[in-house]
Amino acid sequence: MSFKQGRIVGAPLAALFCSNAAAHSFGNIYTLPIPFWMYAFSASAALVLSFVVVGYFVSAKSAARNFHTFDLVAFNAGADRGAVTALRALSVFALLLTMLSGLFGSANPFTNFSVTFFWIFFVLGFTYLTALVGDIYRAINPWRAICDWIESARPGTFRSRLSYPTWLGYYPALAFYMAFIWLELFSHASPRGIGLVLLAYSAINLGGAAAFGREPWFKYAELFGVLFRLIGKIAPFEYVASPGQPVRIRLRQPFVGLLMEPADQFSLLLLVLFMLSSTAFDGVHQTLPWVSVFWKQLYPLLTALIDQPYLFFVDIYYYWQWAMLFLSPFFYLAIYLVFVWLMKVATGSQRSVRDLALQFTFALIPIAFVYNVTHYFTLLFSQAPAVVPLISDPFGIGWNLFGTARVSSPPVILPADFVWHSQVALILFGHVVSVYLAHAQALQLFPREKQAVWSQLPMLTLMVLFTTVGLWILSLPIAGGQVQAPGTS
Amino acid sequence: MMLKRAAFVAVIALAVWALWVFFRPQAPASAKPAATETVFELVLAQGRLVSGPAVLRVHQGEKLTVRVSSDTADELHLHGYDLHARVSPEAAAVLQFTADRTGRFALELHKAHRELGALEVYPQ
Repeated sequence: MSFKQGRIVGAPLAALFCSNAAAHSFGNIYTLPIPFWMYAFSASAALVLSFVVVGYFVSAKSAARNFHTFDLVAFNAGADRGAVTALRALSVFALLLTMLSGLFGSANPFTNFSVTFFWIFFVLGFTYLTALVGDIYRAINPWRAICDWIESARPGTFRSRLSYPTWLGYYPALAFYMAFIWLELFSHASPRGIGLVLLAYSAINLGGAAAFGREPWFKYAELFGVLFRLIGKIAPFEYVASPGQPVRIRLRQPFVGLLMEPADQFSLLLLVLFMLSSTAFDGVHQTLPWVSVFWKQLYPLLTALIDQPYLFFVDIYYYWQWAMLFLSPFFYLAIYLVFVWLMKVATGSQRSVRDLALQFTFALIPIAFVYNVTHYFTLLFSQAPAVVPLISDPFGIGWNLFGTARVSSPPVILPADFVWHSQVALILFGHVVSVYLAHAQALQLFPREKQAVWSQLPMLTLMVLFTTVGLWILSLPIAGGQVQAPGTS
Repeated sequence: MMLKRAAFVAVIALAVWALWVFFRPQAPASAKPAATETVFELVLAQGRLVSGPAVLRVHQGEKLTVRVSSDTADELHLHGYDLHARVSPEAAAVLQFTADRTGRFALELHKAHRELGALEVYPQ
């Protein structure tokens, strides 16, 4: 299904709820739902481990304050500019190649470089790399590099003509994030679709930077810049650049970057919650229980109320799915705020609910991150080998640049039991880290240790809830062709 | 402090192990002998499944025969195993293979762009 067809809801989508169940824009995920006993084990372990973490803090009161960071390397950005310039050039080249191969290459997603490179290497691979090595994207952001090059050729192109409104915050990035996940889940974007989207996004970034200036645009509005900055906080490496000073690479304990500062805007909290809720939505939106809600509960009611043919309801089903995706972060927000309010009540804190909500925002990132990894890491194995032939023939037009165009590169399909065990282990790990960070943050916020412990009961319950829901979703059967169109089953 | 941290990690490991022992199934999942041959008969009408299971559940190592008959011509594709077979009103498509890869693999009608169902291969 092409990108254009995906946007026009009509005949090609007829009965799509029973087609292409596990497909994303970037290919098929071959994972099986985790067995029930494993779900029961990991949910109980999440609960027990949460109390172990709290118990640890009670017995080792100063643990949270011992976050060491030290300089690993300091290099002179002026002298080492060559390496950074080369990486920026490579990044712009990758963007242009993805865009051009998408626009002008083969329409077959399997023989076009753009689909595999964009979804597998950039969206998944680069995210996981960022978690390991830190936010290097900030230095090599291709759109930023293009703006900088234009600025040195024509000074003043990106002077800020309008001041970036404070109220706008990270909402542009959130809007791009929602559009991006929609593309991933519902468009089945063709190579040309990816090319067009990248072209439009490039134009928006250049236009936005020209209107508001490069600094605010790339800080608040450019989606990948915002996402990689958040993920980079997980990494044990931090890059500190201050004017007139050499760039320093600092080593720190993994994850403590999430405690260095609170979220600066409410919109950033929404964005972090969308990280969590969009992955949860992706996990649930094609499972049997979820699909049945519409077709077994809502559909009979709707047909009784509205006299329309079946295809009309297929369209409604799509709008329903989209609405649920877009509403999901607000649903998570409501739950999060209730628990933050309970924390305020439990501690008698003078801080506002909004302030407390922002203070604990980044503690949710490990849960969101491991949840993303458990959902998608198998794709790196099953789809990434395809890049070997693609790199020799990126447009799919018969080139053989490096002699690898006809190299067979079968997908690596990981054994299901290995996938289950790694999913459960990762989710438990992320959960423990989140609970640990939240407690460390509580010790910094609430001066009395008793208060800090009390504050963690609601936070702990919330995190166990998020983790258990995540695990539960992983254990649900997938619908596929099981819910049949009325009259055909 | 180091001792406390080591104790913390040890308590976590012990708690996880104890829960694991408590929850894991006593006997291995009812694994069928590898020699079993399972036959699935699927019938399609107008590109939709009208008879046969939508989810073919088997265990790793089982030998499978999936026979698909249809009133329209199309191409059947089993993802993951990457098996293709033509199906037409005159001749049923027959896929014969050993389920050696575990996971969930979509069974798709290529021309109709429709997922008929899926093969779920569980570990032994």
